[in-house]
Amino acid sequence: MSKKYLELEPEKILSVKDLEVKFYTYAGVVHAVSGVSFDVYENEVVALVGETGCGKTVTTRAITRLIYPPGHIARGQAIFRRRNGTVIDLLSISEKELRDIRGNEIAYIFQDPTSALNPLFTAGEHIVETIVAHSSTNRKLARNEAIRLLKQVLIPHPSLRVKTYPHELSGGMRQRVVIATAIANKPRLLIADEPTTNLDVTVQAQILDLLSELKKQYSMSIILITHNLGIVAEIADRVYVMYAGKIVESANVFELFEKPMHPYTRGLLHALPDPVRRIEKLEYIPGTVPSLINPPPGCRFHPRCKFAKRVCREEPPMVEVEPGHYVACWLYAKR
Amino acid sequence: MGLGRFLARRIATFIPTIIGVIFLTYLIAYAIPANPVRAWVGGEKMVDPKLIERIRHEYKFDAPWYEQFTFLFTQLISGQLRDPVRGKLVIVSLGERFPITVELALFGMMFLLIISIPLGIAAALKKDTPIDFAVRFLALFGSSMPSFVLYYLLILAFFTVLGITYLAGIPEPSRPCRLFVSNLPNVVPVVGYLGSYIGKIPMFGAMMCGEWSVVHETFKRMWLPGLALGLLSGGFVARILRNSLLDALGSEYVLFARARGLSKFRVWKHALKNAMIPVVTVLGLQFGGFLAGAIIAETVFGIPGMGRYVYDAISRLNFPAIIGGTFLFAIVYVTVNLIVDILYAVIDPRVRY
Ligand SMILES: Nc1ncnc2c1ncn2[C@@H]1O[C@H](COP(=O)(O)OP(=O)(O)OP(=O)(O)O)[C@@H](O)[C@H]1O
Ligand code: SF4
Ligand SMILES: [Mg+2]
Repeated sequence: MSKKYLELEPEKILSVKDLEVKFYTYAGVVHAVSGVSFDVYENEVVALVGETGCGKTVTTRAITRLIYPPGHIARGQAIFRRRNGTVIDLLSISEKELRDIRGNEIAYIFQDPTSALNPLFTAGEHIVETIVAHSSTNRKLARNEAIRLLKQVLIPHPSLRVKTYPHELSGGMRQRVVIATAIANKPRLLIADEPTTNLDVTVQAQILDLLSELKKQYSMSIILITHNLGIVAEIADRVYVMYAGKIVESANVFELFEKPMHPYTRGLLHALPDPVRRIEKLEYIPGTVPSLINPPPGCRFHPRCKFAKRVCREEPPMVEVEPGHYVACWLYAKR
Repeated sequence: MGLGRFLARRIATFIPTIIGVIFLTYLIAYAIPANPVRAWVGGEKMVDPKLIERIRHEYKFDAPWYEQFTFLFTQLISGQLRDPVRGKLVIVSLGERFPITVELALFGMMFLLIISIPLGIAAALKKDTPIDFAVRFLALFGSSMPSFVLYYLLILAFFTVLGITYLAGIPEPSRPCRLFVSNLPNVVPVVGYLGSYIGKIPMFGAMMCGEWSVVHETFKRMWLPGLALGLLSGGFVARILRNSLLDALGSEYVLFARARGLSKFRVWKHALKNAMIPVVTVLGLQFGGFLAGAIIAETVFGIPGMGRYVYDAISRLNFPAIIGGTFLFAIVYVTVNLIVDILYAVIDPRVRY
């Protein structure tokens, strides 16, 4: 392990730089994430939005190297400040140090709670083992803690529910169990991958309230992945817009809704007649998401962009158009 | 709801199954145009025709088929069916031989586990490498090779050429031995009966008496047939474990276990527990197969168990013995199936009785 001097501004907790992830499939190499960079500040909610298949899940999983064959992290850094203040690159530390961080300092809420929970383990067991893995508490204390956590995520009858198996719980309850395991060790960074998809609207609202509440209580940072711009408007501080494996625009949430710049972002917002009304799929932009095996050269949006020019076949640089508002589009960059 | 009702329902379905099996065996046996009674008395020319007549009458060969069947069936159920060749009650012969078949099946199971579990795990971990291909080949080999060919090849190698095993007799303890559980019959009849029956399996009996040299001899005698049984289905079971393990290792819950920073050991526990569900099912059915289908293995390896008994019975047209053996096979098979189903429900909380 090389000990380079890593730097991270004190107000940031995570800085991902130039991340590249590929999948080697029979059909060819899938360029799922191509040179993604983003920052997460202490105590903020960062939203990652984009159409299905644009690489949101892969990006966030790569942060703690949860990419397994045929996937491969080809390039990049993920600079993270640990609880003890040391600054490390998650993509180059040892497997053991990484295990220390996963589920402890960086925790995940997986996209689909039904497949994330092991059907043969009780709700309580999932929480208990997560606690025990990162502390010296015994299982009995961890079990009491599990009951407390289930109560905190508003599961009724928590002392009965610890003993139930995932299939005996409703979708919303399963998602709460996943949340309870995620917050079991009071993480500094919580990665919530579409935590409310497949839940009905009232449950969605409850889960979002719960996340905001937990964020305040533990002063966590949250990376929130969602299709749902209504949710973004509601709880995010800053937004990264992803398209076909790249980040195309980022800004604070007011700025982005007020002055979207990238044609893709505009399409997204345009596709949303009323930002308060929630829609699940962003499918109103004409054309289809490009194949990531042979992505279009240059700006990957150019086959669908009505402003496309010749220069768009070259990579557009990321430029800061207003303080804190970045866009990668030739409309805003000089050659 | 619950185990009790599940058991009651399953046992109720046993009865027609077993009667059906016996009836089919009866039909097949009696459709053979031969004179079984001549075969029973030895087939010599000089037999007193009166004797033949008496036996024919005794087994109701002179009565219509349904009377014949009813006679056989009631005798079988009441344990009174007599083997006309040996003159012994069929149930007594089966009771003597079944423990030996169980011993063989246990050796087969031991080798099956030793072969299939490590190979299955290795094939999953080293997917698409020579190990994986070797397991695939073993599975193909085991399912396509006629079993007796493999048995004779093994005998040729280890008995004829190397001479490191023997093929006659079964090591038995010098005296009947019992475990303390045999005192239980008054309290828990089934457990007590099983407890005293376990002592009849020669190797366990020897263990209970502390006759360790007999145990040692048993290993020397039984490892080859056990290995043979294990080799035949080892590849198949290993493939099932490999596939289910690969499914489990690629699943979201294993990734979520890793995302929670669990130790390698815990992550494996998540994967293996799920991967074992289909494996337990096939292992159970294989065990049932070893118990019920050891006819060829027992004959080739000279093991005087149930399979050998039925083989002898078939070659002498000894229908009462054939029907008795089939009856026991059928009971073994449905019981093993039931145990597999119960195990399944124990491992997998999603399964309802
Ligand atoms: N195991 C894999 N093998 C091959 N390709 C994969 C694999 N996992 C992801 N990909 C590819 O990587 C790309 C990004 O997938 P990812 O799951 O990150 O999308 P997403 O933005 O999270 O989509 P969604 O909104 O549907 O969850 C997709 O094109 C997908 O096909
Ligand atoms: S770079 Fe060109 S193609 Fe891409 S979004 Fe901007 S104008 Fe459209
Ligand atoms: Mg996703």
